[in-house]
Amino acid sequence: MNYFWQLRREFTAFFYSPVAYVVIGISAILNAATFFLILRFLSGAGPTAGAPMEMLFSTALFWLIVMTLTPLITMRTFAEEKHAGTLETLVTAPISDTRIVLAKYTAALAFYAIMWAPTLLYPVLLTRWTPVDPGPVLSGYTGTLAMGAMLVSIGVLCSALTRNQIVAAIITFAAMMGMFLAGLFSYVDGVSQAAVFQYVNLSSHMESFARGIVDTRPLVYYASVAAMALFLTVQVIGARRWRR
Amino acid sequence: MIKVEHLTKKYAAVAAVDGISFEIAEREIVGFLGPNGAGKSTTLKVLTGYHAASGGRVTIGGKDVFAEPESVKKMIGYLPENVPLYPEMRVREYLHYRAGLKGVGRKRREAAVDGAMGRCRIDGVADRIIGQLSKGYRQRVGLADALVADPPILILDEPTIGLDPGQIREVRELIRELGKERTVLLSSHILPEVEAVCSRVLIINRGRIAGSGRPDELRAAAGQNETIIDLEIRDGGEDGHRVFEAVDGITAVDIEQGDGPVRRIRLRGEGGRDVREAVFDAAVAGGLKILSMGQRSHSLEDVFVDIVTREETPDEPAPPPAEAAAQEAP
Repeated sequence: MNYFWQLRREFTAFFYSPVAYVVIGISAILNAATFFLILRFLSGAGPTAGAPMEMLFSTALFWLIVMTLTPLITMRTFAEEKHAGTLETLVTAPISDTRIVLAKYTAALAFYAIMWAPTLLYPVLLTRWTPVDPGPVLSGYTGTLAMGAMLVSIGVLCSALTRNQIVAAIITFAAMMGMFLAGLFSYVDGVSQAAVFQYVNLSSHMESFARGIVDTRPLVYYASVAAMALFLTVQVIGARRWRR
Repeated sequence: MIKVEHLTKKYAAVAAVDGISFEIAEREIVGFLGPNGAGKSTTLKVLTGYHAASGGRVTIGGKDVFAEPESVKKMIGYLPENVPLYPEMRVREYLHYRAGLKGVGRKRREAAVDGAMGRCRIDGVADRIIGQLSKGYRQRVGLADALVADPPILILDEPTIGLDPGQIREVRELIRELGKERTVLLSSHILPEVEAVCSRVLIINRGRIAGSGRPDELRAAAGQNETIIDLEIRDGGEDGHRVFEAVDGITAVDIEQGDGPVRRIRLRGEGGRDVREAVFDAAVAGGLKILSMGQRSHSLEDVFVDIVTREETPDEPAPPPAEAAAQEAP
């Protein structure tokens, strides 16, 4: 019960901050630019082929949005409460640390989803000129959201580790870049465990999702990392109550 | 209602609270008094479940704070030091949120928020943004938050800090009124505050309970064996220490350092003896001109300072300020 109450507070709290509007604005502009460039490319001269929505989830601009804006969404979740001292009033209210962490996480994930919401207009627009296969569109969004569920959990953990929002954003970005780059090792010749790196290759995951393939292996990977990160967040927030 | 047994809290290797024990009965207003850094806030943070104790046991309403934090938190309204609030929220909105978080039902929520705002006299700023309020108003918003779920126990860390004298009087009046139907534990480093509001005082120093009792009990206990004489003299004769320490019945001489030729001197003597005439004669003989002299028994402030300084130097008497200053000079 108080989970939902706290979730409501956490979600509305996003919109008190100008960061929220900046994030939504930048993602809308970058997505629109990507979409425009894709359409130009596909409608250009020469034998080009491809589905625009499929391409939307695998360009460099897609990763730019994910890697730079996700840390901005999650950076304030705990760091701001620690900085302002409000964490003390929050955790001394009758609500468990686990519920606080889950409420903050869910709110941040919902905001991440909202960041992508304007792009839902694109397939609708496309249907006026060309048939759109709903399958890959659906799986592309599923993948974006599922990967977001993992990345947001990492952001929340990083935010719990510091009282400085900028530091939280930077270490979140570093952690996410590390995960992204680790996957690229699967492309390097002569790497002995290329298959292992393939399991954590975010960019190849997204390419499959965008093509309409919903593979359970990345989903399990995202869910495990998210569960682990949230578990650790609860421990970090609860560390003040460790008997020393 | 609140029972603390051998509570210890260590930060790294340093014990901020060192094995304190006390009990607070229902509907008592207890003042937690101590100098800054004595361990007041630390103790309150353990009581409210924000920190865990390193050792000892705290039970509130019969429930262990560490084992059952959820049910203990429901009983407590807590105003932390520095009153952390969400600056971007409006007052009514904030209290409404806090009431919901503390389990005040939807139907009672509106009335609970209005009631708390009325008691703390913040209904006038109900729709203002918290970040734009003055310190005094923010303090009272924090107090309203502590009250909003109508908890049986209030724990207030420095509730009147940052308020102007008028507001301080209002808040004290409010606390007294709240104490009629609740248990209140408030911390302060200001003596008159505790004396004005509390039915019992716990003096804490260096993480230990240094004294406890009703304000008049503490004063009576100390006043019985000591008299204080405050003097103003004009310098020019012999050294004040030598002059007054020679007087029969005087146990301590404190001389305040000043720029001008006028010195304030505090003499401590045995209780129950009037040594004013002897002091006067000694001053005349020593060539010191007395400008004013007043005798009184202990104030609670003296008791407090006494207890605190006695704790700090358990074996040797505190050096007089003059000597201490001379030793510190390069």
